[in-house]
Amino acid sequence: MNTIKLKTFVVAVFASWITPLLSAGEISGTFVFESRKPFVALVYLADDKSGAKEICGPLDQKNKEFSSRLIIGREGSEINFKNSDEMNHNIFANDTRKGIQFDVGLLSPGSESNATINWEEGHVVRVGCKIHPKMRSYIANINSSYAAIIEFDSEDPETTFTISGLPDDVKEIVVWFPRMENLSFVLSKGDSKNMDIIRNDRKYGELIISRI
Amino acid sequence: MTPKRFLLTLFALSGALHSPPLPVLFAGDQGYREIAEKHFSVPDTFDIEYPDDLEPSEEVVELGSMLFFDNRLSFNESQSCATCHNPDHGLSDGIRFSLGATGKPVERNTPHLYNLAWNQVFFWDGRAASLEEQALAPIEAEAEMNMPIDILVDRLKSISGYREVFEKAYGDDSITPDRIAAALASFQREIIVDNTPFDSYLNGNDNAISLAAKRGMALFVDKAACIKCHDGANFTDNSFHNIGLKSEDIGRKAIVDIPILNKAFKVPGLRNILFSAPYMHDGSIGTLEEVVRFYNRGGDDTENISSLIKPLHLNEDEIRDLVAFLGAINKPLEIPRPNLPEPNSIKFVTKK
Repeated sequence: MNTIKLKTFVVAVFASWITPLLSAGEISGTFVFESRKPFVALVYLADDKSGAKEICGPLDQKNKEFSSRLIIGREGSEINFKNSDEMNHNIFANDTRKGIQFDVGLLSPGSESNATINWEEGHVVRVGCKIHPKMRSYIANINSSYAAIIEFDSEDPETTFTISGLPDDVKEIVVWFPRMENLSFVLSKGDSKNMDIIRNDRKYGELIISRI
Repeated sequence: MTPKRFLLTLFALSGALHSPPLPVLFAGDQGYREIAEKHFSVPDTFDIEYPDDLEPSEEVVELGSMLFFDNRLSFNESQSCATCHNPDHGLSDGIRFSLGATGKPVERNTPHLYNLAWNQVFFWDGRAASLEEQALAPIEAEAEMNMPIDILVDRLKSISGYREVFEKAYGDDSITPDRIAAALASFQREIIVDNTPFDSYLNGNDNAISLAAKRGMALFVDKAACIKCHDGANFTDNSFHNIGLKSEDIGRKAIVDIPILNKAFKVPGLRNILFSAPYMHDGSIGTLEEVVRFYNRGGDDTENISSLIKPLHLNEDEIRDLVAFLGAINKPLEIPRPNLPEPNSIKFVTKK
């Protein structure tokens, strides 16, 4: 049986554009999973309200995949959807629990459309394609400038990330995964923590995180 | 099997037979291998998404096998899941529209069950999002097994052998719809075809498939562009398309009401497709060769047809090569019949 060689990579770690001081703090973390890894994770500092900058946008479609597994914006952000594929696609969200619905209709090859983030801060909405149900991506509404998006795609059991340029008074970490329990905790300068990653009362992995 | 179908089957299978040893590597062999390695793979069980990421125990799978083959899952005890999904007929039943427990034909062709462990959506119209969700629907459907789930639960509870098997599988003898669905789904996830001649070719055996099948593989990717929908290790992207059949069935549109999905149906996986004729959601095409000819002419009804369906301009040799390739992705799968729990009492239940 063939073994698919997967490669771990961190898609985006940002906030470097707001790193005015070399002395600003930095968070570094390592995810370790015991078996299957999540599709994606979002780590951000929830008590920072300086406003998210859209990253990894626009959300494009090519080779029957979304260009990013997760993009972020804040309340009112326009998300630009594109179809760079050679076949028709669609983008929709149907979050019945939060009452969030949109559907951009048919996106023929080369076309674009937009949707606005108008749901509550901190909520992540799954989007998909009605023609190709295997396709999925997520859009997060956060208001923080300090965040990292981690795409897990590796047989390597460990995946690392950093968030730099942190002011000392921003401390509340939120870690979001699809289908896993979110983590929420305070991490001050000099702290280190090991957090269990849980789904349905079962431990799937661990986050080892520290701040300097 | 009719003589014509026998000959076509024989021809398709010939794609899976070893080519005569070649004195030197055929000039195109490296090219074919590059195509194969770029576009195809052997199914990887690591990629199966089990509920809660937990593989079922052997006991749960065994229970699922018993339920799958047990006629008592239909109200009048005339049919099991295996009646229509017969392992001896490609996990289908060889007829256009299966007959339900009451003898009436159902409205769509019975799909095969190979490699559903990797599937995203189920039924021709994709109305179930998991095998667990799918499992009980044909049992309860009046046109199929016609069995109200509460009566099924009572019936299984009345059989001491089933109480014992449920206890072995789940730790206690509670019999619930969720456990029935989970066991059936767990059994179906074990129906895996990953050792076809084409898999052997992918694993490095250049002579595992014929030259015709290799040419067919190249056509599958390029000129015929089958791979635009039949991609990945299981030859499906789980998408929905109106492929241009003359049919009044609105298909996926009944589930997702957008115009492009009118008369669109799920792209089926192609592993062991040779064994599950007839083909398409309406069972209207009897052989793989006819299927290729249908796509070659760009479908029969162009209204709202998918933009991916266009005349292919394949010549007769190319049609045969494509069929040869489709013949190389099959491997008969033996599914042993389990010993079923004996009835310990006769109990008649009146349907509410």
